[in-house]
Amino acid sequence: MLAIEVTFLTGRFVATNPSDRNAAEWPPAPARLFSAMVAAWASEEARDTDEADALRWLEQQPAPAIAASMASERRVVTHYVPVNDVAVVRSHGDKALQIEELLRAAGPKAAMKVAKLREVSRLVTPVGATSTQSAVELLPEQRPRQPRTYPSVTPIDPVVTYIWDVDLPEGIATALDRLLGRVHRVGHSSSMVSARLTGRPGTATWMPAADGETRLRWVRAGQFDALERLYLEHQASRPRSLPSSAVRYRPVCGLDHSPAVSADVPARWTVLEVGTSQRRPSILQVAALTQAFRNALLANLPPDAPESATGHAPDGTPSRSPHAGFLALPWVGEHGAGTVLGLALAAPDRSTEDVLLDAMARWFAASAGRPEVVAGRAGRWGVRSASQATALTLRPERWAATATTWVTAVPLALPRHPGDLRASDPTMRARAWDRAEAGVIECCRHIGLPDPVQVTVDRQPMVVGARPASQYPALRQTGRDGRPVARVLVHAQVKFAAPVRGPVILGAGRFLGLGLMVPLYDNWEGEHG
Amino acid sequence: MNSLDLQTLSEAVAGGAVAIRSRLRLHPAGGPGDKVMPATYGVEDRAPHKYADEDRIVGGERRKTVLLSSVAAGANQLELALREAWESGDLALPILAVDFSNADGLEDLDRITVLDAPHRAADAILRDSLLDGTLFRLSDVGLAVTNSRPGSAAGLFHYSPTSLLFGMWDSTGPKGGLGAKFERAITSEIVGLDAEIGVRVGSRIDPLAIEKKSAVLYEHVDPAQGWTLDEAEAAKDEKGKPKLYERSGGEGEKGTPSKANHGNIAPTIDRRAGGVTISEAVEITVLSLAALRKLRFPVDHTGAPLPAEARRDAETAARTALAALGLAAMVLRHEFDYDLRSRCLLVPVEPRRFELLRRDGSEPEQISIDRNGVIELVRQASEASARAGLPWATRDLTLTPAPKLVELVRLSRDRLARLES
Repeated sequence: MLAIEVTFLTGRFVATNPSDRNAAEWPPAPARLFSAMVAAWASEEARDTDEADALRWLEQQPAPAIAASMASERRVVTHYVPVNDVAVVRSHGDKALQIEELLRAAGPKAAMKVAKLREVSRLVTPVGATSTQSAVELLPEQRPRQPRTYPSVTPIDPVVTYIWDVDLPEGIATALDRLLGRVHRVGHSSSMVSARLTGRPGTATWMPAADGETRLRWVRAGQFDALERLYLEHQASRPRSLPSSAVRYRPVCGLDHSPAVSADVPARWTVLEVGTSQRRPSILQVAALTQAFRNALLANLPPDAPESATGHAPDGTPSRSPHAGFLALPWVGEHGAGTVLGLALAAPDRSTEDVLLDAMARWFAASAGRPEVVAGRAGRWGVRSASQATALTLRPERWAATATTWVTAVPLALPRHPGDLRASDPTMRARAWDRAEAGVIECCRHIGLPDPVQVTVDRQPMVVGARPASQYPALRQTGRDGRPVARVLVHAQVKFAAPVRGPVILGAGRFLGLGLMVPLYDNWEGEHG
Repeated sequence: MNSLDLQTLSEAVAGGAVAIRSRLRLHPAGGPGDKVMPATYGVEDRAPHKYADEDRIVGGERRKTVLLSSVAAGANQLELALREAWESGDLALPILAVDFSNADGLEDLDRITVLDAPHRAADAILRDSLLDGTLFRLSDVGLAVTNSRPGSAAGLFHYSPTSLLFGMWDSTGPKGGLGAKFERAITSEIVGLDAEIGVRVGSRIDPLAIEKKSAVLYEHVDPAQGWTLDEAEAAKDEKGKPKLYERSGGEGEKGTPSKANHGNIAPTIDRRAGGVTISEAVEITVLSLAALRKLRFPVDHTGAPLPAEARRDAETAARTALAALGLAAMVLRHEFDYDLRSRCLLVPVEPRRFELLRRDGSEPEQISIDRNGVIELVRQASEASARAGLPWATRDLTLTPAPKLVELVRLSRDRLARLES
């Protein structure tokens, strides 16, 4: 086992997320450690071959597991940094180079030439066309400034350990530790560190995983040579883009956190893929799709099917006990296209699931092997089993993950009308939004979740791929008094004090897939269970 | 606790320690819970305030912190402390400075030193000034600065050691983009704890959980400060009672936290920079000895190679001198009030302590050093370095501003004066 321990001496890690200039990175990408070790190797005059071998060995290893605590993020603000390219005197670098050469040459002739080159009264006295502004800007107080951001985080524990479950060849350990002794920072120059090999790595909290949402850079074989080659070009000064490979990471449930709360929603999912890779339904068609899906299954239920499968009480009114839900699974999140990739049957228990799966089998059989959901104006869409699917969206664990922050992929239907969210009177509008927020909290309570500590409600989507609530067709349901009512749809983001295990589906339309929530992993929340 | 001596510092620099760290607790000058003005930054329009805040988890609890002094500001304060000691003659070290005292009409600019110039020895203002009768970068001193790099740092060490300590990137010098880049060896930040910012963050549910009853906001007697939690600072009505904070058009009852969040922006008050109250502040400074160990000295400042057997000791001595300077900056800074900006005066509540951090994970060693001790340490360290072949320059390093620069600034000032009259 190889474990490298990095201690952040200032208690902070300062680095820009490679995919978002205004976001921080956590945990620190292992590629940064590798780069720091290569820089440490290169800073020695006599480059050590053992150390080079060690680096070439390390780059061949798979991405490490990482033991890192949660970290809080400092609000990213814009700092204004003084520039250095103001001038009143014409650039004279070429003169400097000539003088250097002459000084090396030495001798009286060279000395005379040097003296001549150093005669600069023509450069420094006449004002010429130079603006007064350039002059004033040279003064430190008046120096123009450029915006810069320094995203940074504070981990609860300043120690981060990178862990490789590999056999460590002889000699490699010593060389690696020597290198680590010379690593003085990871990330920005103010992220000062102390690094070393350790025999006690602690428990990993992040693991490489194909379904991970967090991307961190690691390296590939050949990285060391590539960095060396590139250094000759950029000399640590020019802007550069270093080779790396992005590895998906997933947080691992830790043992030292309280068990996650589960929402009271049907959690036995059977997923079907809908459409083809060439053609998928739009996320706006969720309700039409799920209703068609439900109808297809209900049509194949036996007459004595239980309430938990049909969703209706014997008298035809909507069931008040736990019953099956029919969901559409949209592709949202990183690079999300906002198309529906799958449909999910969500059963509250095993027996209901069995009944509905039988219905599904009958439906498939009756369709001569090409079952379709016929969703009216939303079109006809072929479905098939998704058990072999690799897309993250079609995997139940994506929706049943554990997180403290959840956001609507599909807007939720408020159980009560909040008032006019678009009222021109600001007081009325504010009240409507307050009621909408209260409605979201109520929805959380309704499915057995604790009250969130933070709620954001908006008609605009809050995750890539989702669509504004206003673009969805109206959801009409039968109200309490038996009259039809159009539900108000809103997007919401909720943050809980403790991690919640999904799936999380909120609101009046949750049995038809409205209000389906997706976990939002702030890296620094480090969803560890 | 041991007092730091040159031997101990030298061993630490030679490889015994990774860094020297100092954590210092401070209170607002008015006591814990007093209001301070943190640094403000550029934020997007809908941001509730202009501060760099952070919700930390400390011991399982959420504590809001706010940045009071950034790394860049911290460096400026450390440099200022060194400058004062240099000017008073307590510290002898090479300081390049552009002297405006003989420039007619610009005497008020006095001297702009490397400790004042944003980019240190590589700064544009030195580049456009004159030394030894020629432009700075064409002089021997300037050439030595230009040609310094981490692999061969003697020139910069000789003429501007503080540039090595605080970091420097000569991106606009004669070598253009390939100019020398030295990483900082010291970093310092001040953070305020348990910050209560007057404006609510994000959603309607207040993550600070300022309950309606628990926080009564009064109108501050000074309109520029907006609100206050302290009755004593509140403006009084005709009956002498403290006035509740009120913004017209805002929701909520007078004096409740929600009142501070809504409504129109009054012309004299920056709604988003009304200050915060904190329980205390913490300054963390780290002097990285590992960073200093990256500096190499194959030749001295004249370009003469150091004899092989002496080189290692000379390098340690030079790095030790830089470390001593760093410690001096930290100790001397303590002497000043932490007057970070208007209405942000902090006071240390304890003497400064240092920890020697080793790589082996052992308990940090606590060391102490006072003002006289650190000044003596710098003197001893620089003398040791000189004896080893790497001295600090003792010649005068005063530059004169280019006549062109003086003329243009004067013109600009005349113009302004005429406009105003």
